[in-house]
Amino acid sequence: MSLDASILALIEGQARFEDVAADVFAHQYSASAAYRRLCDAQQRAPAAELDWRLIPAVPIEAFRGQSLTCFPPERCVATFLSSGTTSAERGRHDFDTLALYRAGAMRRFGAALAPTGRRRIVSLIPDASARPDSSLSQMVSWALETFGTDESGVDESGLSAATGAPALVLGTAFGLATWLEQNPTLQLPAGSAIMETGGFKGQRQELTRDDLFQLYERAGVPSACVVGEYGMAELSSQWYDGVVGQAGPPETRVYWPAPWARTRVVDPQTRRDVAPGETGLLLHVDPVNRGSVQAVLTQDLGRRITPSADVAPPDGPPRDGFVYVGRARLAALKGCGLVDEP
Amino acid sequence: MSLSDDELSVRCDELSAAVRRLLDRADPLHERLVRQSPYFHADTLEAGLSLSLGGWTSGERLYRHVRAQVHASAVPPQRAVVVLGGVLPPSHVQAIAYPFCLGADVLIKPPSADPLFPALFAEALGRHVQLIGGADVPAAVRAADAVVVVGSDEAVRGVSALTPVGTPWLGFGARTAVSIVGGQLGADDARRLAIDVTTFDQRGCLSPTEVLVVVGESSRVASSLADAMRALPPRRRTGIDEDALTRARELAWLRGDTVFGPESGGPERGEWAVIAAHGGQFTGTAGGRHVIVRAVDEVSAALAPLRGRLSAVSTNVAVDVPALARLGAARVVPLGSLQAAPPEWPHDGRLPFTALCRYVGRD
Repeated sequence: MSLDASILALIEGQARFEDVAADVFAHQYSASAAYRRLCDAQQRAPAAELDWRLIPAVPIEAFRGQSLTCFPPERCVATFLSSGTTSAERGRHDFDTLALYRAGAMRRFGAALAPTGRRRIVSLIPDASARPDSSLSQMVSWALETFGTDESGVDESGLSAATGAPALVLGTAFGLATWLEQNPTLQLPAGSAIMETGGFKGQRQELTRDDLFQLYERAGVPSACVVGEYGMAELSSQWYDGVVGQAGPPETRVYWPAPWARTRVVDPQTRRDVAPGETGLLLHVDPVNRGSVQAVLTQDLGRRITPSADVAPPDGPPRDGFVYVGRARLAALKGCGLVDEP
Repeated sequence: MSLSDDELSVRCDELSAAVRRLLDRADPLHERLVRQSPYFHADTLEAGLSLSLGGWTSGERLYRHVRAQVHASAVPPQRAVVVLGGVLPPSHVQAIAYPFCLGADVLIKPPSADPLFPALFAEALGRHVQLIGGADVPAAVRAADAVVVVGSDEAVRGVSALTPVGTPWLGFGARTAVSIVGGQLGADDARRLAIDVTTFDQRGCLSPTEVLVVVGESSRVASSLADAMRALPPRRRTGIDEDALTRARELAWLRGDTVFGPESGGPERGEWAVIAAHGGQFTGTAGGRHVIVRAVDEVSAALAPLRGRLSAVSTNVAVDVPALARLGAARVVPLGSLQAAPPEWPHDGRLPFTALCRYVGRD
């Protein structure tokens, strides 16, 4: 079976994560000189029975100004750029196929946001025709095509969602907050839902999750119908914090990786897994990232959640999730005030 | 009221005597400092104190400098507030010395991360200084006639916002140094460069986070520097962003840069690193004895991202001093001397004693 075929089998629940992750590691170690240098420096090489937690992770900032592809440049069919929230130079993620990306993204989108099949979707987020270098816009295009009814489409004003059939509204936290604050009397039809992604990215004063949920409630969308999505240009898979219509109160939300991915929460100083309930850096292992690197150490902080009788992923094998805490404060240029503020 | 010679002399003697106590290995204050510091290995602290504060031990030298800098008609501050950040003893000494030597009563807000050194220094000074808490800062700053802040840019801006417009003010924010060398680095120069890089574990504004190599390859210089750094005692990891250092090494490996470091994969891993880079512009590191050695064609272009943030330069080649000054450099010195900033140093390009006084025109 080819590697892509085994990744598709993993997405469909017909292969073991540990096996596919090991195969992807072997492929990326062999195909990427840059990644191989990192692995060799850390004295890690593909081996039978290698624990997936030992697969070397690449710092997410490596996607800026550094080629991490496992294929020749001429085979590139798509490129996504990160939003560049904290750096002028945006991360770049090249793909030699979007088939794996689409398969995983739509399987996950469907499970979390369209479990009963096609529905009306109104996106505040532009689609891929307007933003071809945005992975989020690409996902919007696929979602409209795969799960949207004829009444679906992009509407950056969002006003069309207030009339007609109940809609699943797709938006960034920034876009949703602005939309609802500018239209304080807007009421969405009963049965509407919201997919919220991203943050405020320094574009305006931030609202807390509670503030956002109050805005949604005021617009007629209860918290059970609001689902948070976590993803990034540097990864192929997405994380969701609930299933539409069944999502718990905001304070109980946990982002679970797809059944075919994993998340570790690691101590920034030691890179070892933190204890359950503790906060650390998010490190994602996503075999669907076959064309680049599957293990990515982000600059995001999260609280580690291990599955229990009270909290568990909605499907798939037991695996850790996280509560998103925020962005890590990274070391920058220092002077005599290196440690702490006065 | 101007500053009399006698008053100035007394204050300078008191300041230098306090510094001598902190350098004197037989003094209990020195012992407490070395024993209790959470941030520095004893050897590192001893070496750093000796190098950085040696020029502050002569009251006579201090007096002559201040007297030359501050005109007899200048009106010195009577009451000053010094807000300290970071863990670097010499930066704390300098910040306190500026208003203290001018005759002011000094209120000192120690950094929350490390109140030890300021407390010991205040104890050594004995009188005319008092420690205050963070909650006292706003009122103290409003009532002060001079304010000195050492810390992050954010902290400097925060205290600046509290300070009435027109109050004599000094704010020392985030800065870094660089070293500039030729393509060949002999053992002595390598040792001196290692001193520049590793003093106080590279935590301060006078610590270089990059070494620029003009005419030559970075790997050869990096190798020589690494040999010199290999012999140093271990560093404390407290207060160092180890994640940033690990990422720096990982990014270097991904780029194909040569990374020199401890050979062992055990606890020593990450203790220090010399990264041989090729071309590009200054990026710096988060310190912790991690330094980038970068071969460049043109120094000013390579240092462009550092404009306004460059504190000082150590070098063993001829350099364009005015160009470096325009990038912010207030010291250009031989290798090994970066951390030995004397009282005469125009800190961040300013005349600190002069800046804290007022001047009255009498037409």
